[in-house]
Amino acid sequence: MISHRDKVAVVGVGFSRVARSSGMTVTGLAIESCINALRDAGLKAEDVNGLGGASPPNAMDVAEGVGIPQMSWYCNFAYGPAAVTGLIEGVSAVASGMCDTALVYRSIVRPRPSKLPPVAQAAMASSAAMWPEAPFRAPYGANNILSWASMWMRRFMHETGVTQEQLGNISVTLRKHASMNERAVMRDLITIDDYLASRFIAEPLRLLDCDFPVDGAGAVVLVPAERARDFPHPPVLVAAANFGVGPRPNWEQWDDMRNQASKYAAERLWAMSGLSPGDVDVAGLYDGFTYLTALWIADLGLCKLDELGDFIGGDSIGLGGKLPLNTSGGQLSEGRIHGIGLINEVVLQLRGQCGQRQVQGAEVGVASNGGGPLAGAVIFRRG
Amino acid sequence: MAVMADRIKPFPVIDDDNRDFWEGARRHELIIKRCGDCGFYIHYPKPFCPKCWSENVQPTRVSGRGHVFTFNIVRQQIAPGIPPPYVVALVALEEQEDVRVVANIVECAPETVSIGMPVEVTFQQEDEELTIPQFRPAARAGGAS
Repeated sequence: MISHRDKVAVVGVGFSRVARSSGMTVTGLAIESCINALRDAGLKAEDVNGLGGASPPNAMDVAEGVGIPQMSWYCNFAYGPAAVTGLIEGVSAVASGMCDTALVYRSIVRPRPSKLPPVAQAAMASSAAMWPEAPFRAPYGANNILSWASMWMRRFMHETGVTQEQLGNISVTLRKHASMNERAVMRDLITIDDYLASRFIAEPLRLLDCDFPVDGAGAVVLVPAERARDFPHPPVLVAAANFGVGPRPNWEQWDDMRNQASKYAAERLWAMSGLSPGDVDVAGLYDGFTYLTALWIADLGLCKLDELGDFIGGDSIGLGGKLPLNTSGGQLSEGRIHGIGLINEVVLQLRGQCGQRQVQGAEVGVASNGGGPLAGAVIFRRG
Repeated sequence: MAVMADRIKPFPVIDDDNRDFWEGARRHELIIKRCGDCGFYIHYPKPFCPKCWSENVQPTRVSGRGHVFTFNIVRQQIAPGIPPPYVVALVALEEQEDVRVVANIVECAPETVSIGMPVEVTFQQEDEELTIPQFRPAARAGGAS
């Protein structure tokens, strides 16, 4: 197997402003996060020759806004496991020599209530542009991730015995982490009773199982590892990065809902990295919904499936626990910037820059995005 | 009576892969694509069999019997024109368990739906041009509980 292990380093991370209402466009937020990541790396726009992320925004508009004079690589992806998609593509671009310095980003604005007339709203909600399965969902009020994710959640709980209270502890624990993070949008502590009292959105999915929609963006600067010492901050190496896709890869036809696509990401990830689950000091695992995080933990081998409920229901996932999880507060509390916040937080942990929520001596971290049929993950280690 | 241009709730956008399913529903038949060579039911429909790559893929009428593989109860409005509460389920068909059809479970209270519950197809007319398959608790005894 051709290896990309430790060939690419993260030398800069940045955020845009992150707020419930930022007053910025998706393009503007992307530009802001890219400028901040370049400042963090001590680079100028002309030092960059690769740029990528999810579209919208269009990478060309971001390049123009940041002032990048020329590029040899870019990426505008339409569908993938959130921010890690751009990161994985960027790692492959740098490792293969398609560009020398890549900037990857994820930018998102939260959905606003539609002002379209009802017939236009119905047409929008029926759109099959991206998914051939949309027509089979639309007339049932089911063309929405809240519907298909909650069905997977019920089957997962039914088969594994993981309880609402155990999943709720993820939400409670991450809020505690967010209380120590000045970037986080939701910082007031919650209890398991608050979780259980939160309303059902699509039963069994509660409001406090869901991440918190915000406007925001984040970006990462990638360079070949041999140049990684020439930057202001300690380098963080990419020990492994890949996607995972399994059989019947869509939300309804997936064969075994005791796992998700992360199961298919794990094997190559660990083999490439030369590390094992026991080496992980800090984790940033996708928490669009609490149960997705639980599935990631088991699928990556960070705990056995038959011990998963007790693991997530106790202290193991807190600071000082066996697996400090989403120390920024995650999307559940820091705000949903579609996975990039989790990635940047793991990098900052390995740089030792997380203040009162710092995991002391953190050397190895794993960051993941996606859920259900989508998965991508990165193992980072201190350079 | 309403036609497509007036619809205020989401509707299926018909294409070359899914047309047989929706035309079947107008005839009150549940139609799933099936490989004419190896017998595999292909859902969501595609023009080739993923098991044997045959292009001999035929719209095939199925029994409409199955069981609830999983479900939710939508409690907050997530689709325009469709007020909650309602149940969305994945119905595993009797003919092939890993064919799961998305539908609402109708003609029963949401709280009575359970995983494994036997269900059968019924057809709900939306307007002059559109009829959609739905599922209700199976009338007969037994089933895949």
